[in-house]
Order: sequence, then C-alpha cells, then structure tokens
Amino acid sequence: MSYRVISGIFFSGLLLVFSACENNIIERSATDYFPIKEGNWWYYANNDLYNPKNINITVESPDIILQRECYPFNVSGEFHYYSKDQKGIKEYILVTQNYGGYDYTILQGFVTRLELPLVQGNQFSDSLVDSLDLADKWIKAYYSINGLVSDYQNNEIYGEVYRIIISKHQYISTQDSTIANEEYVEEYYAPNIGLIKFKNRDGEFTVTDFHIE
Amino acid sequence: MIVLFIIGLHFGIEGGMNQPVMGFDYTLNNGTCIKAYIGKQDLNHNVHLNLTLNGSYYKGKNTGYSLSTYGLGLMIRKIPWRVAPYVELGINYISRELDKNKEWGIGAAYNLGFLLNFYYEKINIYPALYYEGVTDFKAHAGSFGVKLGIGYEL
Repeated sequence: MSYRVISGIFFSGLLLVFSACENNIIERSATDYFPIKEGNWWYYANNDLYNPKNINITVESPDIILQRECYPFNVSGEFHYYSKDQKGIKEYILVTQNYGGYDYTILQGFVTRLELPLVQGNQFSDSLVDSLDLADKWIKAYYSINGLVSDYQNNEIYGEVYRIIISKHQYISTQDSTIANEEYVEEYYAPNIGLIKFKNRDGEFTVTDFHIE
Repeated sequence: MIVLFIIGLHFGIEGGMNQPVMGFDYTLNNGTCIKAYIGKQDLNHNVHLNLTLNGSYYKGKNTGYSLSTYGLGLMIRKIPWRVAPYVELGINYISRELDKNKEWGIGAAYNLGFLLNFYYEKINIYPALYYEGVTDFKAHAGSFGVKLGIGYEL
C-alpha cells in the first residue's frame, strides 16, 4: 500500500472517531451536575420586562439536621437544605401547623430531590408521611416528589444540559379539612455549573452569573 | 506466504480490575476488564503490534447505576525487556444505565502501562499496571488498573 493510501485510511479513521465522539457521553458521565460546596452562588433573572424578578442562590456553611450533614441554600433569603449522598441529592422537608400561636412539626425528613447520576428517561419518586395528635385532633401531613430526567441537549455555552421535570404534592389533612398544594417545576442542569434555568409558577428564570468553588 | 504470516503470530487474553481516579471516581466503584488480542512482531523483534478487543464493567456508587465499555484498539508493546512499556489507542462504545434507562456514546480510548514479562517456552505470562483513559474531546475520565495476561506465540 502506498503512503497516500495508509495516511488516507488513518485520517479518515481519525475523522470518524472525532465525529463519533460528538455525542459527548464522557461529559455527561464524568462531570458534576449538582456542585454543592460552601461559597457557590448563582444569580437568576426572569425575562419579563414588565415584572422583572431576580433570584440569588448561595450555598452557606454546612449544618447538621436529623444527624445528616446538609448545605443550607439561601434562596433570596429563604433557606432550603440539601445533602448529597451516593444516590443523589436529598432535600430536607419540614411541614408545620400553627396552633395557639405555636408552630408544631407535623412532618420532617429528607426526600430524594434529584437522583444522580443523571440519565435520560430516569424517573424517581419519594414521599414522607406523618401525623400528630394536636389537642385531640389528628393532623396528617403527606409530601411527595416525582421527577423525570426528560432529555438532554447540547448547549453551545454550557455543554450537555439535562432537563428535569419535577412535581411536588403536599397535603395537610385534619378531621374536617384538607389543604393541598401542588407545584410543577422544570429545571435545566449543566455540567460543573448546576442549575442554569428553571420554570415554575413565578415564571422562567435563567442564570445570569455564577461562581463555583 | 501464509506460513510466513503465521510464524510470529501471537494471541492472548488479559483480565483485571480498574479503579476510577478521574471523572468517573465520584459516580463509579471499581470495575472489571477483559481483553483479547492477536498480533505480530515487527521484523526486528522489538515490538508486538496487537489488535485488541476489550470490555469493562463498572458498578456505580448508586446501586442502580452501571457503566460498560466495549472497545477495539491497536496496541504496541516492547518485547525483549523484562519490564516492558506498552501503549494502546482505540475507540470505545460506552453505555451507562440507571434503573434500566440507558444512554450510549462513543469515546476515544488510550491505555499506557508496564508489563512484567515471564516466559515459559512459547507462553508469556505477565502482570501489568496501567492507566486507562477515555475522552470525547470535551471531557475525559480515567482509571488505574492492574491485570494479569497470558499470551501464546505460534
């Protein structure tokens, strides 16, 4: 075989390898989609000219809740607590009921907020249920979360971005009433950055700036 | 011609364990690998040129998660030395699975290592230490590994 034929085969093979790798399986497999570390922050803004809103998320120093180390996420002054383990991200849920001027804890615990690693098509769900006898009245609380890793798309700026659809349901029922709360969220996660976009009942928010330690 | 081609032809099989150290290390536990190869010596008996078929399987830290690779590669390895370096380049089909949900893709693979050669007539037995990397040219991941191989020269 002549030198031209050999070099032709070699460069065709190389081109084939490069084009085959465009699926970016390693980026999706080997990067962190939920960087959870003290000092990380993300700024989000909606694109509504008439009703502009900003949301800032900052990861504070770790705390211990229910014997579990978790990171407080300061979401524009409102705290959410997340912890990371081998199965994914857990969120601390606390449901209280005010009675006689005091808040009583009906339900508390950790639920799976995000199952990691992210794989397209994966569905996850978790729930908590508990009850409390409050002045001879049973109050029952139920919290559930369902998630679906819907798809991923290549974003020119952020890389392989996963879309996750999450629904949350919460019920507090007494003998004569039930208060139900449902929330649907669509979240977009980018490698080594985390949440870059989300849609909820307040609108669509996109990351404008971030800092990852 | 066929006899001349067969002389110096060798084949072998290797098996070992990989420990992810880069990229895969926070989602995967250790993995197992197996490799089969066939090859020839160069005319000066300095190197083996091998065509390899390999596969590896990693269990995830999340018990429902796993990652498998199946690859085709070209390996060059120094022969007359007791401690012999080798290098391998190839292409891997990679699939990852979480609770029956699957993603797949292609990655370029490379493998660098050292063999400790022991010969008994036409049989070559060798333990090896190596680094195995895979990349999609955007991100990379790699593992350190140890394996045991056995080869036979025709």
